[in-house]
Amino acid sequence: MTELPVEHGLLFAAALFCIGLVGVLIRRNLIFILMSLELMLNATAFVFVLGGALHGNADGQVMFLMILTLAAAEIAVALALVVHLYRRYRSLDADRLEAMKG
Amino acid sequence: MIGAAELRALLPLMLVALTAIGTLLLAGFRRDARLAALGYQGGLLLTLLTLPWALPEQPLEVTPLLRIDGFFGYFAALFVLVAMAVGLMMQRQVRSKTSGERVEESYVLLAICLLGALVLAGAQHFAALFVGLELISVASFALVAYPCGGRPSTDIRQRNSLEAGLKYLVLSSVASGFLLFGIGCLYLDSGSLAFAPLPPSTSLALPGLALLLVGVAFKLALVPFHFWSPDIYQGAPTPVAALVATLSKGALFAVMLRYLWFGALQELETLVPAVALLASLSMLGGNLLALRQRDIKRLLAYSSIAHLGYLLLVLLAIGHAGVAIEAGAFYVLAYSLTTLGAFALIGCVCEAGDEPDYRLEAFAGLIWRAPLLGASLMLILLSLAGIPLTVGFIGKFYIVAAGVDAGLWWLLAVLVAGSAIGLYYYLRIILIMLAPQSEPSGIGGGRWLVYGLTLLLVLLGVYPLPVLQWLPVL
Amino acid sequence: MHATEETLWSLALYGLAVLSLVALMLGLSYALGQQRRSRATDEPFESGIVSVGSGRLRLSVAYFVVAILFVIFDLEVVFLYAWAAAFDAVGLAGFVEALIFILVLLAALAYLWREGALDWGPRQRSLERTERER
Repeated sequence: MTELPVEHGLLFAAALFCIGLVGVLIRRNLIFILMSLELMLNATAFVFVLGGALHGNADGQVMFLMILTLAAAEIAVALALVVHLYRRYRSLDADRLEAMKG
Repeated sequence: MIGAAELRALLPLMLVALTAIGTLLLAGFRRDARLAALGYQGGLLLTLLTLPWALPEQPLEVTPLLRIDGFFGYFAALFVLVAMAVGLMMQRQVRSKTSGERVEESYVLLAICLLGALVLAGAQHFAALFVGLELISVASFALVAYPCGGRPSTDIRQRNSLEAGLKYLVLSSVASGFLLFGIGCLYLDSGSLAFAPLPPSTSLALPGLALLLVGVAFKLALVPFHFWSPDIYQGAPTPVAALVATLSKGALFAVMLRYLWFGALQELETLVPAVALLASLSMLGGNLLALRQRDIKRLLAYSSIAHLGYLLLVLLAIGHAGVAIEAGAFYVLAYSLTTLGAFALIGCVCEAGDEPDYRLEAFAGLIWRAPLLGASLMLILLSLAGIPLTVGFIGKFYIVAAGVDAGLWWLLAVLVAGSAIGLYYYLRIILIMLAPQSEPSGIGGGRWLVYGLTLLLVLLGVYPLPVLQWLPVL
Repeated sequence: MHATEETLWSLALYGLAVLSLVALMLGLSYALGQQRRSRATDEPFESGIVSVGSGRLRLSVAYFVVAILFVIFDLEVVFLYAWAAAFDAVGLAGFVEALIFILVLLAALAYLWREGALDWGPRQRSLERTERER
């Protein structure tokens, strides 16, 4: 078993996080925006697992479980809202949400 | 190990959790809005009454996650009171509407929000920070979008709240992402999630703290991360907007106060320019952008951005001025009280008709139509502006005292400039209100809540001593 | 780095084995199977069977409710696994905590049941109501 340097893991997580962030910013379909959000959360969860492995304590893994739970709870609420959005506009385009300005 | 003393200290949290579960079961088995409201308010009242008994004499660490002390007690009492007021606003809104919308679950979500806020008030560990913050966030997504739960209609309120809910969800989750990545970096660095000073000579502390700051700035809606907040305030039901403005921001501020107090003070030194920039941008930007608002809820959103900017000054003063923690704690109280009053008044005046009217013109001639409400509006606006004899003045006075102690002259100048701009648009609303009445329009229910909050606001502005002795000190 | 090289070699060997296995399977079926062409042979779906209807089914929202229930109760198990892994270490306190956790979930389940989220099919109360009101 070889030890990977921490920097590699951190770079991987940062790359994943950035991919998610860019996805949130440029995607127009709400489902893809939600997927990108999940990607960002998973990137942060990876950092915690990495930290747990590095320091040899369980805190990181506990945080990982918490983040998974948050992701599920968030997606449950988000999908309910997406269903409402679809019923109203017959579309999943996030640009439809632009009634309020000022 | 959890013993009797720890269980006693946890009583407020357990009672609020039980309130949430009890209200949920009530909602499932008896569809009765009045009963749900009664259960909710009863549970919260019990929490408030048992709070002095539950607080230990000495600060008590309950598990590594929570620390139950005077700081927790002060903020817990404040948050329970805020949640009760929001519950009252919700009840009034329900009674005035006959759409057959189901409202019982909103009390469950409110109780969950409050539970999150209490966890944040006692947090001394990043895991508790995360759990508390996300309890508030996920419950408030559902609350912001709550009107969609009824039958689908062309009602503009429903459309706006759906939009607000989805925007809030996406942006708040992005903020959580930044916050968590920052915490992850700090954890990778130190190997511990407790609020404690970081070990010296580490490379990841600065990026971690910076990401944490970005996440917090997003959640507190500080300029330049503020763009979501006016839409949320406008689209959310008025009581929920009040909740987002007071409870979630106050709780996050409380936990940041504790984090800086316990740990990251010397690390903050490197971030002082960034925090100072955020503070001054928020103070100026919030007030300047509020100038061109025609919608009262959007105006309050920008005004709350400015208020959070004032509060950031406390975070900068925390290492230098002994009065900083007290100043922050009191300002959160002053801001929450005044903002709640403002939103209760909006619910009373703007939502009286079938279609809500949030234009500033809705207040035209209010002082002639309803003198007491007009006077309340004037006092609330003066408190937001920080004029003497209101609680807003005492709060701002405290912040200035902390700033002077810490020698933050440059930021104090920005604060004065921002307050001056703020005074202009608050006075503009008062002028609209004093104008001769244009058209007669009704006044909704719920005015007693407005009167009560205004009375409290003046009482604490004239004689703040009873609260001052409860303020947490270092 | 001797260890690294060794790991990389075994990885390469593994990749090679996978590729040759796939090649073997494809090659054998090509050599031994019968060759026949018909109208739908080149279509991607189950090559040889003509597909019927559109693949974009409109699933009922009831399906969505069940999917969300699955996600939530799936994550409940994650916490119970963590408890199981530390069962001996946490002792009675852990048992009580897990019990509270399950009771809270049970309350949520009771609420969902009363709301009609668990009714499958035409008798779905909450949805029925929204459809009728539309």
